[in-house]
Amino acid sequence: MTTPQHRSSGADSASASRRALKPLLSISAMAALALPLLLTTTGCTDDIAYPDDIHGNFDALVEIIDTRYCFLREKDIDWQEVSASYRALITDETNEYQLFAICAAMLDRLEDGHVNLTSRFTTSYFREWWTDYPQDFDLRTLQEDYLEFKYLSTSGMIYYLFPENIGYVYYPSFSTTVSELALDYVLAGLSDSDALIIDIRDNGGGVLTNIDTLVGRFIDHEIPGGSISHKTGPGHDDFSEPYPFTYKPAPDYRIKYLERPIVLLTNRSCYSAANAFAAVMKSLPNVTIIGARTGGGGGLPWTSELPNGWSIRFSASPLYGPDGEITEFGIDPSPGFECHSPAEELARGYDNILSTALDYLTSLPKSPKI
Amino acid sequence: MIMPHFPHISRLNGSLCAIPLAAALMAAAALPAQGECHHHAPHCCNEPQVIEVADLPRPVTGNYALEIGRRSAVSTYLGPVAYAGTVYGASGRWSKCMPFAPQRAMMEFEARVEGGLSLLNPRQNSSMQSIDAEFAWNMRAWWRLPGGFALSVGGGPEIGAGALALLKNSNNPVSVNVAGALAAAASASWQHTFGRLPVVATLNLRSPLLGIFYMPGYGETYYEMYLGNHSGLVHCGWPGNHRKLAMHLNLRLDLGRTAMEVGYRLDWQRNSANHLVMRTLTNAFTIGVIPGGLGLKRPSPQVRPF
Repeated sequence: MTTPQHRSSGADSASASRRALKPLLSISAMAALALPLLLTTTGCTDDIAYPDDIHGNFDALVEIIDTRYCFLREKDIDWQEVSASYRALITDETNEYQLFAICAAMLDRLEDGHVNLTSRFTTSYFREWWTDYPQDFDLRTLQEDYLEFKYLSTSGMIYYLFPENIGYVYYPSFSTTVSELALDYVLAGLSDSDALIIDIRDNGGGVLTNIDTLVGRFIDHEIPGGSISHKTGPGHDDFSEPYPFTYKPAPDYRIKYLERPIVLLTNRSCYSAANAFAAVMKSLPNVTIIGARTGGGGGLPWTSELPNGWSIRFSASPLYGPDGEITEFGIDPSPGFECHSPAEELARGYDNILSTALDYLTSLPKSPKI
Repeated sequence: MIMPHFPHISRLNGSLCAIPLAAALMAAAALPAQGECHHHAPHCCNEPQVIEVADLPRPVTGNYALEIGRRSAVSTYLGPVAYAGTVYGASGRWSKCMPFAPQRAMMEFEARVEGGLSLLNPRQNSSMQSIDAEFAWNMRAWWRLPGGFALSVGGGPEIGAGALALLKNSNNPVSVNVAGALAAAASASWQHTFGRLPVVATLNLRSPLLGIFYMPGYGETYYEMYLGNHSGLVHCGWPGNHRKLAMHLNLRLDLGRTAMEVGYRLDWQRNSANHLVMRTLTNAFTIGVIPGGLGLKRPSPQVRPF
């Protein structure tokens, strides 16, 4: 028999249990409210749905190039056909080294020096854009037989004044940032020359903003620099309208080289930023380009990644020259000034391109200096 | 949400709320409180006392927390692969009641920074850096419900800025995330006393409704922006393309002169425009302190040093 006291005790016990459960239920209710939100958000993924295996990595690479590479149309490449032919080489037994070789060979079909596949063990590189052409340049010949090891150097440039009163600047890489102050010293040292040779042979490119620094010293008003476009979507024809840009003259307190003949020396190994520099310099009325057609590289590189961590770099934004022409396929020398420096002549100490430039400039009538 | 306490106020002369998003809620909140008492208020509020707004003692309740958690991030501007790793953060929240309806309306400001130096890809052979800062302000109307529950709803502006950096990339090394929006905010809290220890469990939610956010073109490089092409970089954000959920579930223990807080934060964001997607998800453990406590458990006057 249950006494009232017992009943009271039992009721107290039940009440205590309820009280003990209440916090748990309340916190559980709040957690339950949060849980659907958690599941909703964590369930969303936007990654490329390719697995990290041999086939998945190959397919990811194919899709990245298919949707983002910018010169498939200009180079008349049927990427699906190309990729299908290389996909046929892949089996379940293909290892990572073999996959890399297959992918690299496939990427070579783009014939683009801006395309690199980078793994932990190597980087692929399409070299034929310059290896299939004469080099037209030898640094030792230049330094020994023309500059007689008497040149000065600063900020990645070497400079010299020829006895013919012709200034000479060699800039081997746009990867070296050109200091404004150093450029003042270079141009001050050559300020009394009758003409200037700018040699960018073997310049494989680098930082595009160095073009602004250099071009600004050779102009006294704003000039068209060309235009740039970018992909607006994954389709092969999804491009933005070319955005025109200009180059501005350097400030008045900087030293400039104006209204005198300038010759730009180029060879096939001029690429990317050097190619863009050649395009804009060619548009200046006092500039003559002497040498060989540049190597191109008129697409700004972009980088993406495969599921296995390999990086893929490729051209994504086409650059157009001041004349509106695409620069991917190189810049021609000025009409009548294409010439080469054969290796045997360079070995004998004769640089035909540089000698042609010196002969051309010395043949010009002297213009009054500003 | 930290309910502000206002020990000397019962009924106030109202003023106007100027924040559009919360105006309707604030109008409702500005109704006479009918003798209700803030559940954190240490004193009963039924005294027929009228205090001028200018004289309001409206203490700011501050909460300062440290966070550690895991973040996964993917930005298809950088690449298609998601990176994940440990992130650390710090946050501060300051709240106070509104002068026109102190028992029904409050405002809160939140600032938070979060960063991680080594988010790794699934193969763990590449690392990404991540940093984010966020500021949010909102006004909320709140209601006390039976059983120790309280609910608040409101909204206000929020801005965030951050970046994901994959420095091995060439002309697309950083994915910038900048956004500003009017956001809805809500919270549910439940108060209970375990023995002599007052505890408040709170679930805070905040999500943007309408705003703007930055997203470059599908293949647009920073060089093109440097040249001056800034068109199409800023997008109108709505829940279809700018989704975000900031959720914070916490347990606050009022120790008297101070309170401590432990909690879990989920921060999820997804921006999409120009065929690009940027998505981040952070799950973090938080631990914080609330100087001055919650006002639920006051030390006796005898132990006050002053």
